[in-house]
Amino acid sequence: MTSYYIEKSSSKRMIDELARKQKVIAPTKEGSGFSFKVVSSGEEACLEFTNTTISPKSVFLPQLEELFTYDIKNGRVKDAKGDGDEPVALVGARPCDSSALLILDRVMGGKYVDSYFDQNRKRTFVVGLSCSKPEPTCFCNVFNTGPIEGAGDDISLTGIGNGYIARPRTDRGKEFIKEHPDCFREATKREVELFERESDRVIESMGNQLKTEGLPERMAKAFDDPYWQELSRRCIECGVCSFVCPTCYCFEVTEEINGNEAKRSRGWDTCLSCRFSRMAGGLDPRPTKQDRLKHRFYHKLQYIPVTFGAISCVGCGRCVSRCPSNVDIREVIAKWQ
Amino acid sequence: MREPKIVAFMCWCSSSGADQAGVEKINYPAGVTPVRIPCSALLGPELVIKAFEDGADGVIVSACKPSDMRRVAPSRLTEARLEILRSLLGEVGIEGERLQMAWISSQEGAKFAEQVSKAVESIAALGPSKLKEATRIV
Amino acid sequence: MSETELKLGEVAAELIRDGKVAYVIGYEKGSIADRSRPCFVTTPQDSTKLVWNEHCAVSLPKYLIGTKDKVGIVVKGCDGRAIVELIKDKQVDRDKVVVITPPCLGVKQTTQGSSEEILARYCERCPERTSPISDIQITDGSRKADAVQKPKRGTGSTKRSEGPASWKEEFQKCIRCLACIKSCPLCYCTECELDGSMSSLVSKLRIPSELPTFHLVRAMHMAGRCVGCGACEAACPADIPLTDLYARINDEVERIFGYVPGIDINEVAPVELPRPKVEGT
Repeated sequence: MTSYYIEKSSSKRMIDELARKQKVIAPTKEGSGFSFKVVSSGEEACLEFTNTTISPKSVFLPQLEELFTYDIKNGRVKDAKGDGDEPVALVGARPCDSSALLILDRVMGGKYVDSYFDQNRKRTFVVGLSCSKPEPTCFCNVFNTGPIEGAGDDISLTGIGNGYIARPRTDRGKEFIKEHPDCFREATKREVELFERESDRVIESMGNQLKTEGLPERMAKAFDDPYWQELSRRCIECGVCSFVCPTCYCFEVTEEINGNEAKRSRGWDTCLSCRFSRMAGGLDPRPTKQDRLKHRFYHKLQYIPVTFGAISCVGCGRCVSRCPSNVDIREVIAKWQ
Repeated sequence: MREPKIVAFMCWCSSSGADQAGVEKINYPAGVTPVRIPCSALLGPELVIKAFEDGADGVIVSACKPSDMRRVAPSRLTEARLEILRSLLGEVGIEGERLQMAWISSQEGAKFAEQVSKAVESIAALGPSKLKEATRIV
Repeated sequence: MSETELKLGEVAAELIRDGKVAYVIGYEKGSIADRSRPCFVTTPQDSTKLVWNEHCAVSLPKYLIGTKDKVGIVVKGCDGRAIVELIKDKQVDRDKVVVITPPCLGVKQTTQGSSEEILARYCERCPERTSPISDIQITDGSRKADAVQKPKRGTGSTKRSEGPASWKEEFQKCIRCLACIKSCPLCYCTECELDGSMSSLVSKLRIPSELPTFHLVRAMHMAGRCVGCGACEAACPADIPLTDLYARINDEVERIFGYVPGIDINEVAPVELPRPKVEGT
């Protein structure tokens, strides 16, 4: 893969260029933290951040998404384009969040394609940004979903000195670099060396002795372990873990009726909530808090790997830092190591 | 000026005051949506807040006068609760005058029309509620 | 281990050994620096896990709700007030709880861009750090054992709260996760009106026009009940300064009813009073 170089100042220009042709979503300063928002220029974006509280998965799976509208009287669907297919650029996605997209692709694609997610994936150009200062709660290196390159990137940027090494991962990425010779040039050998040194430095700075090999099998054996009862005691079923997680995708569907028109929408839901799995008639396969918390871990660490071939955790650490009761997935992974 | 959208929560007795106004053919503003509830003290703040969310420019709560009550006056409790709610609504830019209370007995048709008209007038003077502007898709 | 933590461990071990409680709810070291998390001590040996520091932000009385056993619980001042309110609301049986009160250190947090920790805003607003309810008082070495102090009251004790410039904007940050409700020690309704899966007041989804409704209704539910423990704010992933809103509303309740929640177990809550002190009555 050829490496290119872009000055930090040019990266602002790159965002300006992107904004000319499409909606650009980038990290912005919000209060005491950061969040992904639509920006109209490079100045508005802030690439000096660790990570946002909410992942940019909302670019692909919006928290509230209109699916279609229809006429109640004859059931004719009026508008089913969801959020549309205008191009979008996501700039500044960390490797964990970017890699999460490939896990979501497995679930949302395959034999039964989720057309809305698919549309959002196809129309979005992802410029990833390597981490230089992982948080103590980050553990992407355990799953090889970071800290340098994200599997969902079209272009990966890694900061070195006054600029970034830019490595295109897809044809779209390569094309974009070719179209902007004013921003990108081929990297020198020295610059590539600096990149390799920086990558090593960041990876080494992360500890994490967790073993993921054989994890689904370990989980399967531990299904009746009394550990689950002990762990779930302090869980308050708030579901914040699901909301901040870049690989969680469960949603709730609702309809609103206004006169003769009905609108069907979907939005994020959490399997931690007490009626999530309740069915008509009142039967609930996960009636207790323990059942629900256990399900979250089994879904991520055993069910998805078995069904879709990938562990559904990218080590972003958001659930660890935001859980009010400090339920820590790293402890679960390490438990039967 | 566009007529303000007002929801009037009326306790059983005061709503018969409204009926009385109808019987006596006394006019009162047409933009008022009446909602009858058994007692004003039963009025949860949820209903008032929901009315504002749905676009009401003002809410009137009409209750029985304490002098009509035999022992305790639940409408006094309503009044205190509304005062608390008013300060909360102020925090989101809904002026206090948009939430008004009226004291009406069951036979007071004219009183009902008068109080409601006055309330509607003062709410209309504030213009449309700005709450809907506050919400945007992020 | 501090002296308080040692004594705490001893008290917990004794209670469990003597069969006085089924378990003790306290705090243990978290998996992240500067974080303590709830723990349930079931054996005397485990009592050494108990910690006591300025990172005990979770409100433990939450875990008393629905408990059938007699349990011990370690509380800060605000948590003690929460227990008083829960007893008044008949959600906790006074005889089923052994309240252990070490000296309340408050909750400290780091501010953005600095590693220095400062006392949380909601702790600064606290009317009285001593818990109004206590079965076993633990004192640190530097203080004599005091009788539980009767807290100061009056319209001056609760500072008039300041809030953000625009609550409307703050509410738009909300992601409707319900963490505020789930972490609140005084939210015990099994069918929550603000949970869209059980109620038709608001949707389960994050509909922007419902965000002010959600927060205003919650604030009204907290009026005269919120004890200012800050668990909601600590849990909120959107960092909305919720305690400012609830303190504001409680200022009004205090002004109108002369009532501060959680201070006096014999004081009837305003919703039951027939005659509030409203001007002109």
